[in-house]
Amino acid sequence: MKDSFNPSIEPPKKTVTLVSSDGYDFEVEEEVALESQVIKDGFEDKAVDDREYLLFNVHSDTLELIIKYCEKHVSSRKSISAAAASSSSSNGEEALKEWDEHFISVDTNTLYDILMAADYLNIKSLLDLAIQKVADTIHGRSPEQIRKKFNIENDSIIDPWASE
Amino acid sequence: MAMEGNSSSSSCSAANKKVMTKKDEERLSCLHEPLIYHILSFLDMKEVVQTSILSKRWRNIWRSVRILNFHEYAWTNDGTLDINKRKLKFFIDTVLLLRDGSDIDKFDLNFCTHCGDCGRIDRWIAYAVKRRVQVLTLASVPISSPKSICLSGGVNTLDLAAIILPGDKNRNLSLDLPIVENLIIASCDHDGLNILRISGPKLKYLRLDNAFQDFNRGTSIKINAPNLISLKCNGYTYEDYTLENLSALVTADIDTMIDCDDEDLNEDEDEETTLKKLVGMRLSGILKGITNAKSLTLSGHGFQVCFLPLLLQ
Repeated sequence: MKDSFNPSIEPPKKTVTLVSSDGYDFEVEEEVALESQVIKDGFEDKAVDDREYLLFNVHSDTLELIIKYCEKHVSSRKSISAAAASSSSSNGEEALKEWDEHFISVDTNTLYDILMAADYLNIKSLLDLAIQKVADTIHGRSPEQIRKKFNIENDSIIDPWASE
Repeated sequence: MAMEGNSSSSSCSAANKKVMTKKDEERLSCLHEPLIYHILSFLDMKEVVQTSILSKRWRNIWRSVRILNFHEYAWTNDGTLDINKRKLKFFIDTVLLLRDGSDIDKFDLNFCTHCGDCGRIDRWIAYAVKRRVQVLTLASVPISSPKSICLSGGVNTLDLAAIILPGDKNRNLSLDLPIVENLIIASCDHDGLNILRISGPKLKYLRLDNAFQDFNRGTSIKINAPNLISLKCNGYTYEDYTLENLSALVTADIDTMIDCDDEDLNEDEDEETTLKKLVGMRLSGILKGITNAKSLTLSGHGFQVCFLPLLLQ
């Protein structure tokens, strides 16, 4: 930890505030927020005092999950690189994969919320995780099962395979 | 700073969020197209085409996907193997005929069939190349001539797995790859080739995997790749290595096993000494070629047991 108490330099602010679509504030560490490419891109342009991001497309329920994911990935990355530096054996990546698997085992609606949010915030690893999960859900199911699983209404006038 | 987006939902309170999450919403279909294509890229084309009967919205999406995976395993669940292979061939022909003119990013063909289908497979590859395919993955398919895989166009990644490498009448194979940047040759049967020559002026990444003992026995390899950055050799070694012009090499990862049959053993010497000599010869061939590498990883039976003591002597 390099907390600077040097009075000549203004200490860097360590946190940013993320505001969900339903108006809740989430104060998170800067590096956690920077997992989002969108926030990262906008970060340098922002005025120093303005550290609030209004996320109009992300509900508080989803944002909580997203922050949990980013925090986990930031801390895991640190411990994995620390283990690599001290050349001690580590199963950090395996453990993180398991954690991801557990994290994304959610109901279909939550999965979509995460997917949309990851896309909106441009968090690539999370987007890939969510998309893989949706693909796995489609995989091996009949069209009728997919319709049921994802609430897709069959509005086709002719079902070319129905009369077979 | 307010991020762009739909602000209408910002006023809703947490209390009625359950009401907001409409259970009946057709959310999969509401995703915007790049995300739908991204999801479909993880599926086999059989499953992708099946989505066309989900609803009107889905009817034509399959026609413009840019990542096409045709895997035999998607067809193994019912019927006999032969019928399924016929169906699969007809299916691929039909998909390529009916899809729209979108470019292809990745064409992945994993399909074990007989040589009579070589012409058909060449046609499919030619179609993909015409549609500016970037990543071409071929597994188990028969390849009749080097022309089928020495491609022009935009192919930057060529991944060959479990393929019988086609040799000419002198049992040599020259892979001239003018535009390929990444080449993977994994578990391919070298089928008694004398020399496998790989030459790629743009080649940056090369991986050679020979997990099966007899697949590359007796084959020598010559590599000419002035821009090669990363070289990975796993599994059984080649008979001889000629690594010309690897001046740009940064990382080399060599993990080897030695294949030594009875012919190689000299009766006057004990087995261990012969093996050591053989190992020394082959491995020093590799090492000579990769002297430019900034990072070198050596592992495997050959180096641990035989080569290092020899090197230290």
